[in-house]
Amino acid sequence: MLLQLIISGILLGGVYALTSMGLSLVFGVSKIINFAHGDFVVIGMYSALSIYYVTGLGPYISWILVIPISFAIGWLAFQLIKKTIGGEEINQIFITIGLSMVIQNLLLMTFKSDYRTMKSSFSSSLEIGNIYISYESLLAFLIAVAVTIAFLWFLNRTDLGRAMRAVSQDKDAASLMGVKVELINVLAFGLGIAMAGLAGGLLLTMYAAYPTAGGVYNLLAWVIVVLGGLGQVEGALAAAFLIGICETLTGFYIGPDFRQVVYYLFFIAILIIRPQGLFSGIRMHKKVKHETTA
Amino acid sequence: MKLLHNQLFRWAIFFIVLLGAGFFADNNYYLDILITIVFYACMASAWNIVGGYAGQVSVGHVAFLGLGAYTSTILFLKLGVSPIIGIPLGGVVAMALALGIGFLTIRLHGPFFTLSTIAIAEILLVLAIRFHGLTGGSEGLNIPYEPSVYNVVFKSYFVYYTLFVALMAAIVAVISYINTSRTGYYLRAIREDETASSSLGVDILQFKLRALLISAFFTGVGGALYAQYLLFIDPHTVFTVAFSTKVAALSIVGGIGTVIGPIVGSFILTPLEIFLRSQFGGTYQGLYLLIYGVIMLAVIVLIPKGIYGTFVDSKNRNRR
Amino acid sequence: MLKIRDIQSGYGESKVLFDISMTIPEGSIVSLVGSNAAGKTTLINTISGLNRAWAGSIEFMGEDITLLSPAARVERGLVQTPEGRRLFPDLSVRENLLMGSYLKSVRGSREKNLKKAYELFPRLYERKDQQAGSLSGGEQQMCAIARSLMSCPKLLILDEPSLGLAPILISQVFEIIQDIQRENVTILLVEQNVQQALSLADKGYVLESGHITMEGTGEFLLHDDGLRRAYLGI
Ligand SMILES: Nc1ncnc2c1ncn2[C@@H]1O[C@H](COP(=O)(O)OP(=O)(O)OP(=O)(O)O)[C@@H](O)[C@H]1O
Ligand SMILES: [Mg+2]
Repeated sequence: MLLQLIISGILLGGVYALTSMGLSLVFGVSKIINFAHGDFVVIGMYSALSIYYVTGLGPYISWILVIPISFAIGWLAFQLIKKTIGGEEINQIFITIGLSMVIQNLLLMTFKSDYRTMKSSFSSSLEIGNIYISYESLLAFLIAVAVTIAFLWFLNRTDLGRAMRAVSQDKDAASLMGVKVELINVLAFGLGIAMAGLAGGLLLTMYAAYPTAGGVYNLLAWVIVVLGGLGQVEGALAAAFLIGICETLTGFYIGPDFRQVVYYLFFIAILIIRPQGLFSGIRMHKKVKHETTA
Repeated sequence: MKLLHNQLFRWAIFFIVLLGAGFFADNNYYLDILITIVFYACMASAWNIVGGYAGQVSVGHVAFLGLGAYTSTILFLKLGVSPIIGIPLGGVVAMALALGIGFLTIRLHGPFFTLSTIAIAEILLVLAIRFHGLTGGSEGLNIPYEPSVYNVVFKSYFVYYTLFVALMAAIVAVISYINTSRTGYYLRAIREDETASSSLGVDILQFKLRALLISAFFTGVGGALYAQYLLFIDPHTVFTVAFSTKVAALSIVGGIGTVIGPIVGSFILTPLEIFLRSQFGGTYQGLYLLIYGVIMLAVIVLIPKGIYGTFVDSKNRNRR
Repeated sequence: MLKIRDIQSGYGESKVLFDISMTIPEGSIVSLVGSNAAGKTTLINTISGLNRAWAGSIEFMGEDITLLSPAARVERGLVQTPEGRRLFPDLSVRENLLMGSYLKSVRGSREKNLKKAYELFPRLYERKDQQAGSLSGGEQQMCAIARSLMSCPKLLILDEPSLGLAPILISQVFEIIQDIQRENVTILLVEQNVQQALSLADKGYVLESGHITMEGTGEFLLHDDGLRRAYLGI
């Protein structure tokens, strides 16, 4: 049973990694604290659902559409959010909280408050020994992993990705290299939201969608990002698996309603004890020598 | 001194007119509207003490509200303790929670404090549902309708209304007092420039914590009183984060960090909410919150100081 | 090459620069000296486009660039090495250099420039995969200069490149600056190290509280009694 739970946790963590890396990217690049990130996950869920209702395509195909849809929504949202960049902090906080209110209630009005799930397209699941893995969540996991790898490649190996990292470290210096910081901001935001939306679509294979679910996913993503070390995309990746496993374990051993309680407590504890995150300092993409000699 | 008198006088007039309105309304439908407006004005004003004056934005204030409500209700239902004691005690318990939370999290940088308050409210929500022996779980708790002073249950809505107006007067009095006191002075200094104040040796955390405690106390008292008025509480009304957002929205729309702003916010948005709910509540669930959200976004983008704050600014500009 | 006329700029409501005019001839080294808080960084940030000019005009190679974005100025060959190096600390040395050739217009010569940079600063080649934040002060300055060279500058503005360096390293930096000039790059050198900055300059400007108080050949300024007393303590 334990092994089964851990495997489910890893599958879940793979999808959580997507949403948290998106959040981490947005925070790192534009320093926006996005309280509506979870709502973009839910928009992704409903996008996948709508595609399913209309065309019958499951999430492991519709994700190709969910990505550009979410990117476009992110782009639009950023046009609003950017108005508070550099302004009073309280307005920065509340612009995304207001946005979250608007999204949740728009969803509520369009889709009603019902819990919606998607029928499984596979009748059987993968059986290894006495461990069962549904093909659906396995596929979701594989897509999540593939996109994660692509994203890390983009961030570390392309000029645009490098520019995003540069802006997150020193935007003035970056603009002295000819980087258009505004453009990088909006691209990073769109990309972050695209990943959140994609994660939402894939999550539909495991959880139901309902209009106010964004609150849960928002805190979840923040828990992971803080755990992984703020703005550290690779740290978020590691933390996501930890949280995924933690969630399946508490769900089983303590009770499903306690899933969130455990990681909220985790979150508060981390904020207080180790605000720099658990995994900061570890960099998974590259060996870095630390020598300081003149 | 003259200014103070003048202000005192103005507030006295305001509360007398407010009470008078209730007295002449003499109709439970209108009184209910007035009570709701004043209740939200209280909650927004209390929120404003920490969110507006101390600049620590809580979106988990509902935790204090719920704790206050549950404290007095449970004490009454299980032990027969009169809410006359239970209501202030609700405030004290909320304050105790605030002390615990504040001690741990008040040092967190703005948005992370906000996130942690959400987490705490969510935790309390789950706990309130889980411990149904004490809290009645999801079904909630009913306070029997047995009007008496001891039970703090009244036949006349006007009595409740008077109590809420009294609470609001108390909150306004405390805020005005803080404003003129040393604490208020430091809070303003901190809000202007946190680094500068801390380098001057101002114990920032202590002042922020103080603001949080006062705010939590009034929120807890308000929650307990509101439970007496509704004669019912359940986790999804008194521990839902949406409530906190709404209360914060009132302050932001009215004008954050001013005494009058949150009151203005409630007087504009609460009637709007009641109207929208009665007109579209059934067919368009969520419409009123959607409109709340849109108004909040519009205010932040167009008049970031809120309605009252912008009004004051333009008055000052004209004077110049 | 660069002509600025009656530039005013500042922060918020406080004006820092008052009607600054300067001319930088092509191929020269021009030094801008002045004490702390004189407004040197503000001035060159205005030239680079990080600060908005409140009034006045900036002309670069015959074109009015006053309203252009920083990126557009870099594209035209106006490149700044900022005060305090401002490397991207978590990027490797090589990645920092690659950032210097971010613009499409210079990406074509990326490999060639990278090779040249490593030749000029062999030290950086040795440490190319090290995080820039872990370099020593001198290495960081080299890295910052090399990064600017990756942008194919026509005018290179250096803001206090000697800041915080040991005397030997300072002389090395100044030598490198002259090497760069020999490769047909015009240089605007901002310095507090008045003696050295003026002795290699074709032309110098002295900035005091937002006003240009003196200008002339480096030689001329170095022999000015007032300047010697104020900045060299002689
Ligand atoms: N970002 C800023 N916001 C507000 N004021 C600033 C800012 N940067 C600089 N100033 C002010 O502008 C004035 C000029 O500063 P500037 O950095 O241009 O001087 P500088 O000549 O480069 O000094 P230094 O030699 O110390 O680098 C100073 O009074 C400084 O306090
Ligand atoms: Mg400077």
